[in-house]
Amino acid sequence: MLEVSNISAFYGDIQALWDISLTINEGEIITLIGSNGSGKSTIMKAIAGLMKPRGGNITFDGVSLGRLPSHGIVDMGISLVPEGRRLFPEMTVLENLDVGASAKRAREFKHSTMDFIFGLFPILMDRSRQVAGTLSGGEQQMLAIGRALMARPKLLLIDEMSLGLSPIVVDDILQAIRDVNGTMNVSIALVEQDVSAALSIADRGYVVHHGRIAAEGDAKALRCDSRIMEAYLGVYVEEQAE
Amino acid sequence: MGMFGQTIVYGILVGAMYGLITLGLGLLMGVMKFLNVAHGTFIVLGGFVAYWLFAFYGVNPYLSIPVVIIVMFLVGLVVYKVTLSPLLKLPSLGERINSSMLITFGIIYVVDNLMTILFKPDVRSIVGPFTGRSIDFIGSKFSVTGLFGLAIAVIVGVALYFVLARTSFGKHVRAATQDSEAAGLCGINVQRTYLISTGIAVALAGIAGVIVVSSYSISPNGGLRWLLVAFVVMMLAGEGNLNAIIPAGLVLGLLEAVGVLLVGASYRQVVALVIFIVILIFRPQGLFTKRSLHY
Repeated sequence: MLEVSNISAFYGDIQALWDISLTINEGEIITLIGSNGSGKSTIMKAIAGLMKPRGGNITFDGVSLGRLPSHGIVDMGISLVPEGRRLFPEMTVLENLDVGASAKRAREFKHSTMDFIFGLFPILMDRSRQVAGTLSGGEQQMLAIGRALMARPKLLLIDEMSLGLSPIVVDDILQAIRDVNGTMNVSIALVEQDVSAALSIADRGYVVHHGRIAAEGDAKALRCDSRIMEAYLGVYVEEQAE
Repeated sequence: MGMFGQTIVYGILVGAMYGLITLGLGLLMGVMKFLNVAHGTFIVLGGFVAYWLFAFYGVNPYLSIPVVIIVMFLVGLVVYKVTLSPLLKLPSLGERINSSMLITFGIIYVVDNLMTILFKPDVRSIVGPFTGRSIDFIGSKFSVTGLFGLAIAVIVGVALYFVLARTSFGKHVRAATQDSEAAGLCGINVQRTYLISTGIAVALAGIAGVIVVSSYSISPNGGLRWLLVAFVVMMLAGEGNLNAIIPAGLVLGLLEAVGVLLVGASYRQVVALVIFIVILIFRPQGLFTKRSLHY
């Protein structure tokens, strides 16, 4: 469904990605794992159109995302839950969800999608008149996922899902992501600090290291591969944090 | 009511107009962080549209407002497409503010001089059926043009509030204001939202121009006077706080009227600028805003 082939990306003159290729199939959950600053978020941004890769190509259902702006990529059916949630802090929960359905493909389903999201995260219904900036971290992450789902994506990208959240909340949200994947048939790409949690819900994983794909494979296999777990995700840290 | 009552009436009528002339400036600054110093020039341009409609076809200035809105909206679209849209590529909001200020400063030169060539440098005002008339009410005189200005300021202020609060376009504008990148991720075409917002902002300047040319006068180089007033009102309201602009205009109008009563009419502008400086020193986020500024 999504085909990323040989993209490179730069922040100014500094190269962040080298020759990245990956695939996401319909109905699949994949995860990008790797240490801080390895380039996972940059891959997500490149897919969502927030930064334009140099070289290579990204296609979705056979259509090149090439020069599409980020709102055009949402129209294609790809939504990103950005790092740090990026909610509209002065808008209510309801308004945030409402704005999430701005894409043409999403407007006519607005009410049914909202019902689905309230079923997924009932706390959001209780908070619906509250301003997003006053929500707890977990509620904000739920709202950010809900807002992205309002666009009726075929592919949902979630960046740094559990950043700053308690383990209990993380479990709830991971369960919800599994539900979304199952009932809405949304493919999911997850960037997540907690490697074992990420691999436990994913079908496949990619290990990102120094801006390159260092390893890829079945999630269960990756989990059991002590060489990879130690080399790329282990305790030793040789690079600066982001 | 006597002298004091008359001063309050005058302050309210002038203050409503001050609010009206600030709406367009506040919209551009609040939504896009464009500091449009050509705002006064657009007020004058809108005033000229109404003036020529009156001079050639005898159109009542208040009835010419729809035409002024359309013409100035189109001017706004051109201004955005040609000069302002490239600024969105700048990485920081501070750079965007600085560059937009320089660019719109250039627009002042081009448009002011074009107007001077085309319209001559004369001072113009519309002397229509209402000019100089006033209504006596509760012992004070209400100028008819002032009352029209008040009514239009309230209508336009309320209309803008409803557009921003209730329509989906308004939600897109507010989303783009709070986080333009996240707005794009929600499927909002931020460039188009900005384009239309600029059109609306320049149209708002045009409406203000109609009131100015009916109640006061305009000349091709006279935009700066109104820009200064709009700056003071925007600072009073708190940058980005659009709903507070008409109230802030009223506050400035009343303070100025009382100040003039106390120290004399020749100090009118001094009063406004002293208020401006005091606000900048003690409450840079404005009277009506709790949030502090951050760049």
